[in-house]
Amino acid sequence: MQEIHVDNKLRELRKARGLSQEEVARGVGTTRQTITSIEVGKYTASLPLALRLARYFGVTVEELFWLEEGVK
Amino acid sequence: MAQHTEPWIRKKIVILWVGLILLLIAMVVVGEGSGTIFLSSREQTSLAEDVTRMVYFGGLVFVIVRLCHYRNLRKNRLRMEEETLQYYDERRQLIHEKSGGLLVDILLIALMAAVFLLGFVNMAAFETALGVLLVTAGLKIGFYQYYKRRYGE
Repeated sequence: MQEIHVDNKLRELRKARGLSQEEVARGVGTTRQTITSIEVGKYTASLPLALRLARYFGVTVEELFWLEEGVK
Repeated sequence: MAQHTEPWIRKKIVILWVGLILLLIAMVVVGEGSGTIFLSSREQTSLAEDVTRMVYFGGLVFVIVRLCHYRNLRKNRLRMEEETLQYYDERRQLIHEKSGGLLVDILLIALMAAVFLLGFVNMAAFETALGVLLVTAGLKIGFYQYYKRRYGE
């Protein structure tokens, strides 16, 4: 069975800019817990949140999120 | 200057006031009908007496506490913003929807109302409604905790 997982580099981008999870959460209108869950890969952001995160960091959605395809 | 209140808080306050009015109406109806259309407390089983009291006064305390909470929230802009972020948080909404969402919330309220009223009408029907209420609440809590862990917290 093909398992599709969305990976991201949210933590790397956030740390590179010296931002806290709380600051990013406030900047995109969500909670710190959601940012934590996205960073550890437990939760996949919706399209509107992915777009807001990409705009917040000034990158494209594809630079921030990408598909990891594997066979289970 | 008029105080700004988030629309979701206004909606919750209206729902809570409706709930409070319904609870007061229920008290009058059950009190007036006791011994005639409804069973008196002497005719109820002790389980029915305890559960109807718990549902009624628990509901009353819950509604009053939530009304006070939202009233205080309207006075504190920072806390209101925080709770608004929590309320609209998509992960929280997803967990809520996966664990039954609004449908199960309404079902639980309807079952609580049924348990309360049937506790004054028919003991067999009351016990059935109480069983369904406990199973529904158990499933809701179980699924909520499962999805909360699955989506991180």
